[in-house]
Parts: sequence; structure tokens; C-alpha cells
Amino acid sequence: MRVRLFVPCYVEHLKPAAGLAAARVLDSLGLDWTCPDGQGCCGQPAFNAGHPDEALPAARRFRRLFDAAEAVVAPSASCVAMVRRYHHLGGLAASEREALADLGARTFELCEFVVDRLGVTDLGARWPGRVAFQDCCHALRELGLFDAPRRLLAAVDGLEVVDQPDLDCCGFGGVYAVKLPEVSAAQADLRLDALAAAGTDTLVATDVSCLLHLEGRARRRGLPFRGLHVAEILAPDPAAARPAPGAQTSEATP
Amino acid sequence: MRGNALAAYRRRAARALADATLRGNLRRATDTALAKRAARLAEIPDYDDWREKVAAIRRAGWEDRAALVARASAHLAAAGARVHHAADAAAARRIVAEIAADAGARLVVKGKSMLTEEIELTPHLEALGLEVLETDLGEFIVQLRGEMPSHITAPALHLNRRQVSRLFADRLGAAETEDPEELTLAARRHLRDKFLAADVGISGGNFVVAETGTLVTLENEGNIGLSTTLPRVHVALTGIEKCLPRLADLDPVLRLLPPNGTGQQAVSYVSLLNGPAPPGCGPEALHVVFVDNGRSALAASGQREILACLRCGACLNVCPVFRNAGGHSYGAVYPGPMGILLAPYLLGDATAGLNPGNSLADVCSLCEACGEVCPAAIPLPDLILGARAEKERRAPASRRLAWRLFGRLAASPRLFRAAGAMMRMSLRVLPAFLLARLTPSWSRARALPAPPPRSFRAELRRRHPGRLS
Repeated sequence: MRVRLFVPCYVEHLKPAAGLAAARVLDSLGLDWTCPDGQGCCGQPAFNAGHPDEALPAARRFRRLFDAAEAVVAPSASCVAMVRRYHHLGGLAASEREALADLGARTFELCEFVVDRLGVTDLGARWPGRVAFQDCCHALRELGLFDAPRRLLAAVDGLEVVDQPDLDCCGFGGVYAVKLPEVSAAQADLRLDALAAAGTDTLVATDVSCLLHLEGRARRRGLPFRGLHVAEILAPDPAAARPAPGAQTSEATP
Repeated sequence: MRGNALAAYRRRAARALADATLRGNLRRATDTALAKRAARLAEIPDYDDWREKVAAIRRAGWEDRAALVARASAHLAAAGARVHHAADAAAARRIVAEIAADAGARLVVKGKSMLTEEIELTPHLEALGLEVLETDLGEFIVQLRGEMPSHITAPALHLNRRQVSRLFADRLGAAETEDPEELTLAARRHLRDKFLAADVGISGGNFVVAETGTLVTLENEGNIGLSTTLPRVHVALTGIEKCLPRLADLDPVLRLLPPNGTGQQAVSYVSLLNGPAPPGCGPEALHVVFVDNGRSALAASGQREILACLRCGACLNVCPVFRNAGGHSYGAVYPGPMGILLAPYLLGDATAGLNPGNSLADVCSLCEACGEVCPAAIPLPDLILGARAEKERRAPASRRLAWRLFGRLAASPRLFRAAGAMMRMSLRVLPAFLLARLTPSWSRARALPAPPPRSFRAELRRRHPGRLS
């Protein structure tokens, strides 16, 4: 199967570790995958900010880069949700619309690709320690992603998962985080409270965007916090020395 | 709400977020509402089927509104009711004021009606010298406090028992107590004489059945019954989108509205009024006022599906923004997700400056929980995105240009790479205070991310160059 890795913009520039972990997951499945050059942003910020037309160039670029793939996989539910909306954008020719709908149906978030598309639930991973798992809104409500990440984490040797479903949105919301920073921070605080109640400083989620927002809030408040993408648990970096659980630094920024 | 609606929201929200009592009240009340809703839904195994039925009925309610209102009006008139049609809030206020004046009214009692809040009826009648008394306990409480309701089904949701007790002690001379029954009794004692002395009773109309000309009111307290049977005149106001085509449509609607609205299996009282009371058995006159007040304009817009709203309040209870900053932050009687969509069209008069170009469509983190809970299956998240796009179409050219440039950047590999590299370098090189100055909206409450040494692409080139294509 020709698999192409789709790298979210914030993974590309701010959290490449999540992308590398996703790459290791694909490796462990023995897949023939590549990462096309010339990727950009999926265009979601413009779409969510009320400028859907400005996501068109990104949609067309995405199609050019990925149309030849049999499956496109991304370590981000939110970006995949955007790709699946591409065919609804205004200004597309009918043939473009059809091609994008088809491509959207072949584009997967990582966990849903592994579990739902490939039928694999055990990647033979080992990660001793306790983590909390919280859902990201677009994963839950746009992709219907609930079981897949949980099943994958349940199979990880030595891992204790404190499952925290039914929490309110973390408050990232893309542009929302900077348009309503006060309420956004209040929402983040509630998620951090839940994390503290889970008795761990390590939060695992499917979207790095939410994790960056929560990490930023935690560091500002001087709270211990380590945010890991699901892939980082499923395919830990063999070269990295893992800090002991709870040893995460929490520098308060001035 | 003159000026920028979002800025006004943020000011009010900041105050609300600093109010620990308010936040505790909001959390407890909405958590309870959601828990009850979940328990009720678990009792309805074919919930999704009922939801589909409700969605279809409510869609007919606004699509066929002209024909349905005409049918309902004809039936009501034939039964002896006086039927009125008000194009806007001012017309509706005038109609009610005239009815009150013709009746020589001095005292008016009111059941809870969001429509009457929307058209600002009470201040108008009070300015004409009438005493207007809210009889719904929650509305009674906020009226005593001089506030607008903070939630569409639970007007005093922002208050706890201690606050209500203190209010009743101050304003009614009641003994302080935190027992809800005793608090209710204190209100009842105050209201009972008023019901008996009132000249006019005003109610809303949760629905009107077009097939039979039936006015439907729903309540738990019995105050609507008392308000609309004891006074000499009953005036009912209802929105033109509230018509249900058939009497049988009440079945699906009444199955889903109480669980979603108040976490009940059923409301305590469902009143079906098919016309005025027989002589000597109730009010001398029944007036029904169908109010447009922006609903036709909304029906012509991209957000028309919000007209299916049942006014249950479930979307408020589940909305993380509402749960944190409360209803008053919106500065409008319709708060939360449904409020974002209704307010620009229905409240333009009441909240000066609010319109589709100056709305609260940004007051939403796009979590989509609202769409999940809506019993009428209104696609609230998509409508909010649509309202946002509509707002942005009227945005200053500079902002539209900025997003045009973003769109180009997002699709241009070279620009994208360069922008990313510049961002990483800035995060690495610039002093913290300068970075914070450059990103105030992020940095006020959060640390900026630590930059990785290399981009993903650069890392992949180092470790697995064969995987690049």
C-alpha cells in the first residue's frame, strides 16, 4: 500500500518528535511509506477564522501532493478533519470536488489508520509508567475517534492509562486561543486540574496543538507537565533517554 | 452593546472568570443539568429516531411558517381569540400596551417568555405606568435583582441558594434559609395576591399547533396557569417559527424537550389552549400575538436552521465557554451557542450595534459539543462557522488581506518553510520579554513553545533520507 505521511504544520515546526514517532509506527508496520516534499498547512486556521475561501490553495496543494497515495496518514485528528471538509469548500470545480472527497476518505488520523484501516491493535510497544489520556474535540466529534487510541494504548506493555473522557474542550480551538485568551486559559486550567487528579504529569492525546496550548499554560503556572502524542507512546524514540515519570521540569516563565 | 461585540464580551467574561462564586454556581448547575440529561436519555433507547422526527417537524416549522401561522391564526380567530401579527419588537410592544390600556390595566403578571425578554416588553409597560411582575421563580429572582436572565430555561442559574435567600430577606422581608422549599414558599406568598389582583396575564407560547390552532405552554411551577386564567385578559406572544404542523407533532417534541431542557421525563404542566375560556370560566379575552422581529431575515440567511430551536438550553449547559464565563458575559438574553446565532438577527434593536457583521461568532472554541446535544439536530457548529464567515465578510480589508496572505503561505512550500524557520529562530534567539510583547494574546496566559533544534523535514533527512519524496 502506498502510504504517504502528512505532517501537520505545528508538528513540522514545533514538535517534530511527534512526526518522527508516527514515522516509527509506520516503520513498525512494515509499510512502504514516504513523506512528500513541499507540504504546507492544511488551511484550517483560515477556515475556522471565517475565511473558508483562503483554505482553497491549501486544498489544491494537498491534492497535488497526495492524490497518488493509497492512504494518507497524519498524527493529527484536526488536520484530517479539515482534509475531509475540503470537498465542501466553495469555488471548486466538480471534478476537484470529487477528487477531494475521495482523497478525504483515504486520509486517516494515525490511530484510526492502524486500528480501523489495518486492523492492528498491538504494536508490541513498551512504555512503563502512568499517563492520562484525554480526547481532543475534533478527534472525538469530527472523526468519531474514541476506541482506536484507547485500544492501542491498552496493548502497550507496562503502561497504566488513566482514561479521562467527558472533559470539556481544552480551550485551544485554533484562533480562539488568541481571540479569547482569558476563557481559553480557564478551559486549559480545568484540563490541567483533571491531569493532576490523575496522579501523573504526563498527558497523552492525538493532537499536538492541544498539547502545546496545555503545556504553555502549565509552564506559565509552574505545573509539572509532559505532553506526548499517542505515537510517542506507541513507538518511543529508542535513542532518547526517557526521564523518570514525574521528573518533568516546569520552568515558570518570567 | 455599542462598539465591538467581542471586546465587550471579553470585558464581561474577564469579570465573570474572576468571580469564584459565580463559577462554582455555573459549574454545579450545568454539571447537574448534564447528569440529569444523560440519565433521561439512557431511558430512551430509540432516542436518535425521535430526534430525527423532531428535526423534521421543526424544519417544517420555519420553512412553512407563513402557511402554518395563517392556519393557526384562522383556527384561533374562529374560536374567538384576537389574533395579532407584529413585524418587529416595537410593533409587538405597542400591541400589548394597547391591549393593557384597553383593559384599564394597572397590574400585569407574566409567565416566563424569552420572546418577551427579546422584545424588552417589561420596561416598555413599566414606562407606561404599569406594574409588571414576573411569576416564574427564576425570572422573579432576576427581576428583583434588576438583571436579565442568564440562561434561557434557568434564568437564575448564576445564583446559589444563599444569594437568593439574602435577596428575599432584603426585598421580601423573608427569613433567611437555604431550604429550597422555604425559598419557594416565600416567593409564592408574595406572588399569590398578585395573581388574584392582576388585570392582565402575559405568557409566551412554547408552540402553536397549526392544525388545531392550539397554544401550548409548558411549565413546572403552575405560575403560567395562574397568570393566564385568573386575570381578565390573557395575552400570549409567540415567534412565527414556533408552529408545529400537527397536534401529533407534540409527541416527539415533548419526549425530547424536557430531558434536554430540565433533565425531566416530562414537565409538570402542559397546557393546550384552543381558544378563549367559556364565559365566566376564565379571562374575558385571549389575545395571541405572532412576532417576527428578525425571524424572516434569519430565515433568509445562511444560519436559518437555528429557527428549529426548541429553547431547551442543552447547548448552553454543554458549552465550555458558557460553563466558564456564564450567560451574562454575552450581554444578551440569548446566550451560548444558540444565542450567538439568534442574537444578531433578533436582538439587533435590544443590544445596539449587534448584527451579523458585529456578532459573537468568535465566542466558541469549536468543540462541537453543542451540535451533539441539540434535540432538533441543528448543526450548530457549522452554523457558527457560517456566522463567523458572514461576520468576516464585513471585516476590514486589512484583516481579509491578512488571511488571503495566510492562505497563500499555507500552500507555498518555500514561504511555509521560511516562515517556520523564522518562527523557530525567533523563539530561540529573541529575549523572553520581547517574544511576549510580540505575542500578547498567547503569552499573557501561556508560555511559548520551546523551539525544536530542527524542523521535522530536516530531522527526517538526517535519519531516514530514503523516506523523503
